[in-house]
Amino acid sequence: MTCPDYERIEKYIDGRLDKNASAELEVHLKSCEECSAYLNNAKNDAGLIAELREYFNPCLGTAEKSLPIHIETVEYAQQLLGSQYRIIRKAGKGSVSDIFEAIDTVLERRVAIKFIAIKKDDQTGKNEANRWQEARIMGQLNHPNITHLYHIGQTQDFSYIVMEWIDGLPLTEAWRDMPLEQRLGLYLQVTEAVSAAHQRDIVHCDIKPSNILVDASGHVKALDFGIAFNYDRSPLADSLYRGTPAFSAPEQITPPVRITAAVDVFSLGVLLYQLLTDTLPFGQSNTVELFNAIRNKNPQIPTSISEKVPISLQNICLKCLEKEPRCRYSDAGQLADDIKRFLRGEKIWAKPSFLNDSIRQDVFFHSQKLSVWKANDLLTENEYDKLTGIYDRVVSPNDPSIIEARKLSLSQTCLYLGGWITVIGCFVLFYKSWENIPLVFRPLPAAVAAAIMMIIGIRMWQKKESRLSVGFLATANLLIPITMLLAMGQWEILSPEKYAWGAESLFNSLSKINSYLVIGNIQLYISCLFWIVSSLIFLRITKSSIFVLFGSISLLVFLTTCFLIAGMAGYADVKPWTLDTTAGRYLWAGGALFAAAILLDKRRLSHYAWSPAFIGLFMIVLSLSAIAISDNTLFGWLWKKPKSWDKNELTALSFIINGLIYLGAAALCRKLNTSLQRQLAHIFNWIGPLHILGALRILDSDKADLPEEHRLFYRIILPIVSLAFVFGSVARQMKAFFFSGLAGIAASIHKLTIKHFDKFYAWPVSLIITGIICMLVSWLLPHWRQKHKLKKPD
Amino acid sequence: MKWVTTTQILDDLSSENEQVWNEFNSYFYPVIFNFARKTGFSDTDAEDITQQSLLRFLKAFREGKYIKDKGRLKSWLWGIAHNVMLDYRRHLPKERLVKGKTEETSFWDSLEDEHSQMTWNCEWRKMVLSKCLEQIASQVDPKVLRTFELYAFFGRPAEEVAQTLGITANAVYIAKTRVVAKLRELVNQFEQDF
Repeated sequence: MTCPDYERIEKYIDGRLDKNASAELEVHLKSCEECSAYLNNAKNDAGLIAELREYFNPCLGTAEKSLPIHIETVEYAQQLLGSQYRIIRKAGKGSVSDIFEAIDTVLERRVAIKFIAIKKDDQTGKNEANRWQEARIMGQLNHPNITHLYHIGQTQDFSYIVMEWIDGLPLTEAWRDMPLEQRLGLYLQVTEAVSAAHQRDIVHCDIKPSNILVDASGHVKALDFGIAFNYDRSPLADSLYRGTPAFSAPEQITPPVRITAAVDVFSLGVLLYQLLTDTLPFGQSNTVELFNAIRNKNPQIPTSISEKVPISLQNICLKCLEKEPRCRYSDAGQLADDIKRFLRGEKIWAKPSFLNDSIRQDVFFHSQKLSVWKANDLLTENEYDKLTGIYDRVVSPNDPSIIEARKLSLSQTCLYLGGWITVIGCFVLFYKSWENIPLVFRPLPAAVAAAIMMIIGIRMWQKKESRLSVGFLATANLLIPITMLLAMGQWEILSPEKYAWGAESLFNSLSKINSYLVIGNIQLYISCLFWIVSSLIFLRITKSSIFVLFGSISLLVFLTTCFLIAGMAGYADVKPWTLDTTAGRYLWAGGALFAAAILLDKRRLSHYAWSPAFIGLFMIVLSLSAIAISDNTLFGWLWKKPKSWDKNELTALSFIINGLIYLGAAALCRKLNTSLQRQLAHIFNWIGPLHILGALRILDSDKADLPEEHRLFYRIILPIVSLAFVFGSVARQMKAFFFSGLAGIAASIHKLTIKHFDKFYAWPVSLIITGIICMLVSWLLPHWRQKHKLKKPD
Repeated sequence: MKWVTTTQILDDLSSENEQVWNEFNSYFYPVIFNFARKTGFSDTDAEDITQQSLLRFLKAFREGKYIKDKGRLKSWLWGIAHNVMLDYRRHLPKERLVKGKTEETSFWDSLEDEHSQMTWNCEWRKMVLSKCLEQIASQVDPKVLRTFELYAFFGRPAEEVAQTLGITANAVYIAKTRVVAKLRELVNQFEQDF
């Protein structure tokens, strides 16, 4: 007996076979292993299939519970339609529909008829509404590039839509031999069709070449609104994926699905990519890999496939293909606008943030490596800071000013050059040679220049040309105090004779400048006040860090003039760090600036923190040194000055204490470990050892009135400490100590040579000797280290 | 084509490979998300919970806390998601807890282990089946797949399926048997691995 077909066995399992046939089959099953194996399998399969139905039917939604069936034959279709339409052929087939070409015998025109199966359990009005969704959407859209709807109808099992018949080729085939511009013409029609839909809050969801037909006259028609979606009504689609994988947007294939116009923009991006390169951006054949690529990978850059691709179009394309919906054009209309802009030869709006992304990713991975390298001492902290600084700039947010700053080059140079020349020009106005010009006109050029700069700057700021604007405003900001000074030079009450620069010893040299410049302290004081205010105003407007710099400088000058006006109070009997002395005020003001900088840095506003930090640092170092030099040193005041101590010894001790303070500060800054702090630590690191060695050099002064045994000790201590610095620092790569050590050695050699050579030759000779010693050290050191290493194993 | 084997995902997860992580996400994100949704969290909360659970899992996994012999990944992941959900509930603002009193009781009910386990098993199985189906879809001839879909999924009678697709009823059964056999093989493999 031949084996029965599987149908019989299945029927047998279901109990649908009559008794005789069942008996017959049972006999056969006993003898045929193959058939009984099938029987067993089929029985097992039933369980798994039941499970599948249980899990996925609710997931597919009630709408899909029963199956859309297809119409395979023309005859069947004709039978369903009756006489008004004569079916010619089956033209195509979708996942839930069949499309036939037909002739409307009454109106005598060619039509396309799309049959959609009615779900069997589709009783509710809701599904009734869903059934006509496509037709309703098409009916709403009256656009020359969208297929027209003629008629809708319904049979028992199918609903159908009669629409315009388009005799044309799919888009990609139509443009196969076309040059870029013609292709763009077709593409623009597509975007306009989709844009018309978007204006009515309708998303097509399935834009692909086969849904876009081009007729012989080059007219584009968008078809198939079968899965189109009105997002105005329900912004969240059901969890079911619909669409064409290669043209799907990431959010379309990732639950929870969110459909917006951006989905179509993505598909249009894929289409544009095809237009530019004739390949798909995500060409994986396997759906799993394809979806993965759409979600996570960036496509190959079009220009790397074809060099002819215009960069602007590439940018437009990449903007459409952004993974984040909000980074794309918000709808097809914007995309169409940008394409038109390109066709007109104007500047397009698309910014290559997509490229940024890939750069950012690379930089991110690389910068992560950097920290590993740093941890393994392959990079110094300085290098690390520099590189991370550059990387930060690369991956910095898309701030318009930053992008602008990267674009400007020549114009930027001109801008700054122009700014500085103007400022210097205004400054030259101070010279006496200008005195033959009537005094009233003197401030005029500066004032006019400042006004022009300010007006242009503000105008540019309004036009969002932020970088240029900051340049102009900064120049204006610098011109303000100069104009003030020039203007005030007129009035006798503020004449330099009355309020000259303070003639105290520390600033004595400054008074020389006074002979050239017609500036008095009060004038400086007032103009600096204005300068501070204008810096603050500009800072508030532009938030540019350059105004922090100007503000800090103006504060420095302002404080200086304040102190000068008050006169440099003597140090005699006051504590040097109180506000009664210039140095004390400087110390506190510097400390305040410094603290402000650290606070700013903590708040991640480090671009504002730099200038206050450095000016604060400058003021602190200046005042501490002034205190050290003064008669009543910090040390002297703290511990009653021992009578036997010389002035030089006290000063040196103060400087050493200062040096140690700086080194401590360096260690502290290093602990805080932000970029600014590391930079500061670097500076402290240099200042510290220099102060210590400088102090030792002071001790070794011939002028000091020291007992002979002390003098001998002080003479040796400088070279010894210097050598210790040099040799101690080499192994640890402490540059600051190394070089200050070298300077110390040079100073001690100079001390020796000055005895034997006259003053003029002492310096070069000592330098040459130091140089030779350094060379010898560099030659000997490796040998010495080698020996050291070789010894160790023993 | 390359079917990323499930064990391979676990092996690669220890390395900082983003692709593997994404692959892993595509498996377990929907499971945890749906689980959280069904337990009564809002979409956004469920998203948060899913993220947190996956991250917590990853951290523990990289620390080597998951030992395959001690239990299935499925139950381990359930434990993590369950804990994250309890934590999350605890940290929700008070008003939201007080407002819907009945809602809250239903929440604690739904977190009861047995019920929660059932929901979890259901979601897990769904993920397994859908992953395997996805896999099959890329391996099997489209027509066979379509036959299977019509017959097994949507429960159309074999004769009707045969008629629509223009094949014999016998071919429908053959297609079904082949696909189911393949599916069973994949499902078994999957359940073994995780």
